[in-house]
Amino acid sequence: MLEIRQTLERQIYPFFTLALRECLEKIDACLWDEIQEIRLRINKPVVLVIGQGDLITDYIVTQEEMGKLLQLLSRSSLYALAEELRNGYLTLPGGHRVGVVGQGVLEQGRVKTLKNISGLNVRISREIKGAADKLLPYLVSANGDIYHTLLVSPPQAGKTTLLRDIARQLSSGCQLFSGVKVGIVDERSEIAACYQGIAQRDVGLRTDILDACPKAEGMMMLIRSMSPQILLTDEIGRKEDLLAIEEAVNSGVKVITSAHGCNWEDLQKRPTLSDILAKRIFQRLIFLSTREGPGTIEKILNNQGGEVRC
Amino acid sequence: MLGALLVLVSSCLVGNTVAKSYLARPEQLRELRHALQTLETEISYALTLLPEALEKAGHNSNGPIAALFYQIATFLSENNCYTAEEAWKKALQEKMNSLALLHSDREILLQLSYSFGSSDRENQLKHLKLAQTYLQKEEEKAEKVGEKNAPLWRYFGLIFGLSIIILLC
Repeated sequence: MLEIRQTLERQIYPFFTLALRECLEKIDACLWDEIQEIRLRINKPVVLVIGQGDLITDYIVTQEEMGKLLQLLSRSSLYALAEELRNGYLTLPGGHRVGVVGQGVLEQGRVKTLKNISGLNVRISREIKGAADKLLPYLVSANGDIYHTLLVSPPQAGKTTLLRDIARQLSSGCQLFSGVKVGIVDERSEIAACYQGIAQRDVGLRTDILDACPKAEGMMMLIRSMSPQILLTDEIGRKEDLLAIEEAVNSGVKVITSAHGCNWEDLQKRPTLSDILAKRIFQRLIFLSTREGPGTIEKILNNQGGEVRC
Repeated sequence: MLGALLVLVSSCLVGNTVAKSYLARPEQLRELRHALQTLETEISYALTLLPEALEKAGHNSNGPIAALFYQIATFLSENNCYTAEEAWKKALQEKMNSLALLHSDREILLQLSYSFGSSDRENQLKHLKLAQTYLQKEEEKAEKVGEKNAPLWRYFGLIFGLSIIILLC
């Protein structure tokens, strides 16, 4: 409980206005540990997403305050964050993400940046070391090889947290496995939570991170330049991702990645993903849910569609 | 004899001090312009965040101007939630006494501070360029005034001292 409070005070408070800090201070101490998101919308009360429910505070965010918040969150450097803003989020030191919505500014049909920001969602990032402990035995074969793995779950079921811990354990080494070189393509700065290019989360000592790079391009860059033994990336789904994965697999690199979905049938319905599955590239498909908290392992399949038990 | 010498030395010193203050302003304006140039480079090429860019600008300049930029950076980095505008204003308030700048120079800086944190890169650079142009104009004016007035005050100090000695003798 103390930990999350300290995290908030050290890493999030500096970016909040004094009034907003006061509002958060009023919250019942026993709820602190469960805060996942702080949602701020103009002329609406601050809503805290706590565990599975919401806590609606009596503090209203004014338009003026939203402007100030944006200045503080961007450290008065919006000019440096145009690219991030275009993708709809900012990253804070400590790896916390701030989702941003507002009015799009278009240039040749593409979103150039956002203006008139109307809502912010501060997602508090947690690092759970050992989150992948239960999963790791399924990823390593009897002779010490890593399987090509796909983690599948709906959003907020702990995919990224798991990927991060898998990267850390495979890279630094763990009981099952002595460490190898890991390359992470972190398109949305979520796995390693880089701030200004420096990883804010422990992703292992043999890990190289390509931050904010498109997955497909980034994977090829890493293979060519850093000779990783394992490539880690999240949320695949585009056609070029598939090609890059095939390329990586054919160059002898093990691929660990994730995709949105609930079950096998869901995946089959998605055009690109079903192609990957048809090729039986992934030797382990791991289905996750939030049934017993984020990161609950529902089912593990091999590339033939058969269930795996250790 | 000793008294006469003392009068002469002190009047010369006063004249010199006034002369120096005339020369300090163009000097500081030049420093300021250089600092803004550093800021511009940091923003346009390296996309450095403002607090770090300000610190670099401070690092690349000297004397009171360096102190001013460090102060702004400190205000921005500290945990007291200042926006860029507020940090500039407060730092200027605090450092104004140690600067040879005039009210009009301060206005230019304040104008610039409004643009920070609320505009994109192109806009930001435009504002920085504009501020530099204004400062350069001020600098040229200040230089002319300084060139005219600084020797004048030096002579004036000397002559004032001499005339008092003559009168007293």
